[in-house]
Amino acid sequence: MPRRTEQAGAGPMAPAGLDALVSFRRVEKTYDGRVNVVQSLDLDIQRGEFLTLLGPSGSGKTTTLMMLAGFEVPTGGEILLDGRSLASVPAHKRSMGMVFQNYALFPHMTVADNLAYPLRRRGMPKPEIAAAVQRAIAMVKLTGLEQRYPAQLSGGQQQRVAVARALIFQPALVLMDEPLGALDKNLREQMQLELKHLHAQLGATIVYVTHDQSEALTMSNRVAVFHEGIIQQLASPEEIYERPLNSFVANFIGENNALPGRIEGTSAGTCQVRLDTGESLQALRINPGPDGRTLVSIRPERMRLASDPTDGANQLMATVRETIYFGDHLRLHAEVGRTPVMLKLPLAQAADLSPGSAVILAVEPEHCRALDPKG
Amino acid sequence: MSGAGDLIGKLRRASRRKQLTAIGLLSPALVLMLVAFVWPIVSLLTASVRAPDFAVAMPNLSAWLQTWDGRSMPDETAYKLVAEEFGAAMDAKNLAVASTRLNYEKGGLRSLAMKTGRRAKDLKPPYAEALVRVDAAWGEIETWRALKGASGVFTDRFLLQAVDLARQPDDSIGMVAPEQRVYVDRLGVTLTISIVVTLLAALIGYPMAYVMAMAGKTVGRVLFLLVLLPFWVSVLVRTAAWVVLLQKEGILNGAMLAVGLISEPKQLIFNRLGVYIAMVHVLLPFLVLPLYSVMKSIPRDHVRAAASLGAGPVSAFATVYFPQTIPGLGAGCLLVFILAIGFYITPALVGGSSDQMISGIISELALGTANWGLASALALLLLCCIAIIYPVFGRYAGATGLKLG
Repeated sequence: MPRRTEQAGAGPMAPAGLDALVSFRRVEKTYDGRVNVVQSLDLDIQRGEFLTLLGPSGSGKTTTLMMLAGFEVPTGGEILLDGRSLASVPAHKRSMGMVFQNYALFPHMTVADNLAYPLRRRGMPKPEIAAAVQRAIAMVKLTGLEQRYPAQLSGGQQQRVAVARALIFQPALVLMDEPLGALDKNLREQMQLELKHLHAQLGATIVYVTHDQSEALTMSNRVAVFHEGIIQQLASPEEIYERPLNSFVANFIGENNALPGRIEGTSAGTCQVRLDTGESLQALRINPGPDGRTLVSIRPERMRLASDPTDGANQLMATVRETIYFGDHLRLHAEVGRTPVMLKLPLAQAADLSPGSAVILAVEPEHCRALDPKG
Repeated sequence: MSGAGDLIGKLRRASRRKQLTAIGLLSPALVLMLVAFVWPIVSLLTASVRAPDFAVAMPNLSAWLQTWDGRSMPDETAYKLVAEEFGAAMDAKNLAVASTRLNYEKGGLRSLAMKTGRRAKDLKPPYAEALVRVDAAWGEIETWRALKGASGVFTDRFLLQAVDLARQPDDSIGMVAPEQRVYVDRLGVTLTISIVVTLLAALIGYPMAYVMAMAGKTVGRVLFLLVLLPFWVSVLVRTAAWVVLLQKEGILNGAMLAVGLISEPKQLIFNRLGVYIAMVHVLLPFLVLPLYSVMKSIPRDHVRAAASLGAGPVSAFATVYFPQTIPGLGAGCLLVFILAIGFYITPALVGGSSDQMISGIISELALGTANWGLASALALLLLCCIAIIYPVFGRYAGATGLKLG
């Protein structure tokens, strides 16, 4: 399986001067002794980065987080924090802030008591606790709600309390398990921004688990895409989106056109692909299958209608099926032979796009990526 | 305008129809509540203060006694009324209940009343001498005072008696003679047993409910079965099983002797220990079930969150888990306590004579000696105990969550 760990720093947000805060070394986890939920995981989490573990449910991302937090015990390998093994360190001594999916606020304590909880456990003197609680409440903009109970807060407010509680004891590492999953769309987008700003402001290392790819792309320095217990790709959001290494990543992140075909000839980094529909196109040779079969992955916004039939790009004959008006763009559903493709087009289109009409699609070879159909 | 008025009228009719339907659907429950709950309690409360048997049997004598000052000996009018009305009561066949009522006032008056009733027809004036000839007690003022005590429709004697008090000859309230002080003592025993049983059930039931809430499906189901088992076995069978287990020649004593834990059989049953064991066993499910349902509703993430915030297992339990289970624990304890306070079969079967609880005495008074007045007064005493304890529990245990009623 392809893995790239050298991608750190490639993203536009990546902080400079990184070193590994956490290292997973061949970590495995199985619950039944047969199926590995996490398979031989090697992962370095850089100090100060916002790393997102992204994947569908059951991909092992949450298990990985739980092993890091100390709530699950790895069945193989080891996890190092600052170079020291965490194997014999119980969860309450790891000093990692954690935000849970349903916030896990203590319902019998007020907001202030919830925030003071980690400080009290650390034996901080009372006046300092009060000051820290006030600062934390101001940081997440909840001033005035100190004496409320969690049940008296809205979802977004509870979320802020949960984040503030995980940050108040200034942990070097903050773990977040789908913390925005229970919020509605607007609130979620607002909280994404706030979390991103908090990260920039505090400089803590954040490991964030989500199955929402847009969340992963907008917030992270790096994204680790999980599937079947294996990291499929670890890179900056831009890299993950623009240059997926295999067809799982290409399909899971964003929208993707996958055209099946067979590789006919290769030359330095590129290859000639004969599509099953008979068309031929040139693509980047990224990760073709062992038997010459391949899926050519093309992002919808990289394809356009060919105005001039000789503009040097790959050209595909297609039949229009329908167009959908999206306000800021037009979506064109068409078929290349029998393979459905989708294009995002600017609104002003001169061509005839009525269903059934024939169009020529154009796409540059550097936006066509030949990937293994099985992975 | 008329259109709007029409609509309002229609809406009103529709909502009235809905209300009537709702009341109609509720009526079986309301009738049941009235017949099976409110009425018995009201009649119980009345029975503890109303004892009209004597006044009904002898209306004129009772009226005279009500006006008598209780200090000077009664005159011939009173003796004449006694002769007339005892005879009449004998014929009306309500002398027996009247004399039972008299007997509560003063021991031995039943036989005096019955004797007087049988010979009332043969008496000739002057009745004072005639009655004293029947029984010298008629010449004593205490007899007349007892008659006066029984002559009212309402009385406080049962309520006073239930807490070992009585009216003194000068009509003030005072303690009864030491050898007659039984009920306060019984109430003490009842409360002690109930409190100890509640505490034991909490101590045993809390870990049990915790394991059930934490266990996987299979283990959880088996534990549930074990907890519910006592429900499926009749009280008598269950209690008999404890006798078999705990008696001197029983299995437990045999086992302890065999392993050399004890050198001679221990008295494990027919004493307070036996009462505790049997009652805790019977009442445990009432504590475990509400506690379990509360524990089941506490997300596992809460304890994890506490750990991630730096709390060790003990600290996380004490500060995060336990406080959230208090409503369930309170509800369970309240249930166990209320049920325990009314137990009488189990203590009667596995307890010694000093372990009889107030409910046992109530049952004896009501079914054995038909002293409904005192039985009702004692029942009222129990009701008061619960009425005092319930709000206290409700305040400290039910404030944040589960409430009973």
